[in-house]
Amino acid sequence: MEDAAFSDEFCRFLRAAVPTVDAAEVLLLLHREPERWWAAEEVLGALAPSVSLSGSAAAACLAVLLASGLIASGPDKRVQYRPGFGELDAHVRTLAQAYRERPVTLIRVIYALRDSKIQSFADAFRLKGK
Amino acid sequence: MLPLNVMLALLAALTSLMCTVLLFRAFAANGVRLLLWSALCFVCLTVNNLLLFVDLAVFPDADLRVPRLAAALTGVLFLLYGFLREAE
Repeated sequence: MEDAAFSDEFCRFLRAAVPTVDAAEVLLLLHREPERWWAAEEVLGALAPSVSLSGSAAAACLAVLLASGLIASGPDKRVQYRPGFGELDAHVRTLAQAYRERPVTLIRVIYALRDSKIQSFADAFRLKGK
Repeated sequence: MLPLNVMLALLAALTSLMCTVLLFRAFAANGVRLLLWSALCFVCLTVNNLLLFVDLAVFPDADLRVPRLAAALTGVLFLLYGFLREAE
């Protein structure tokens, strides 16, 4: 996987839909079994012990993924991987590939994007692009 | 030739308007919501400066202090809300 895979569009997707490493872990777990409906506790159980998430943190991750149109919520509050459109699915596949092949870079990018809001504010006043 | 205070009010309005446009443009490009709140703040600051210009140059006998300050306060509240929301 090359640096080009971290395109502006993919980074925009990460910033909007995968703001934390925990959210990436949850999303990739759901992505691995797209047919399955998951309860929040099952998500926590499947991620443990390598990923330690509190119930409220998992709920926050699921809320972000739901708002981004990456997962669907059932009547019993179970969730399933269901991207709203094909482009989102392509981004998630890129995310899965990055997680497999370049996890350190991916984590660095997610943290860098999280801290980039103030930089975005400063960049807004650039009349010409970088 | 316009008096200096009127020219400064006009320049402040134009500067605020330019900031508004740049911030909305950046928000459209990258979707960072902090930029949207900042842009809304600058909309209000533009209104504030336009009212100042109107107050000084168009209706010098009227007192537009209350609507001017209300516009500025609304703008600052937008910015404050944006910072608090995005810091979460």
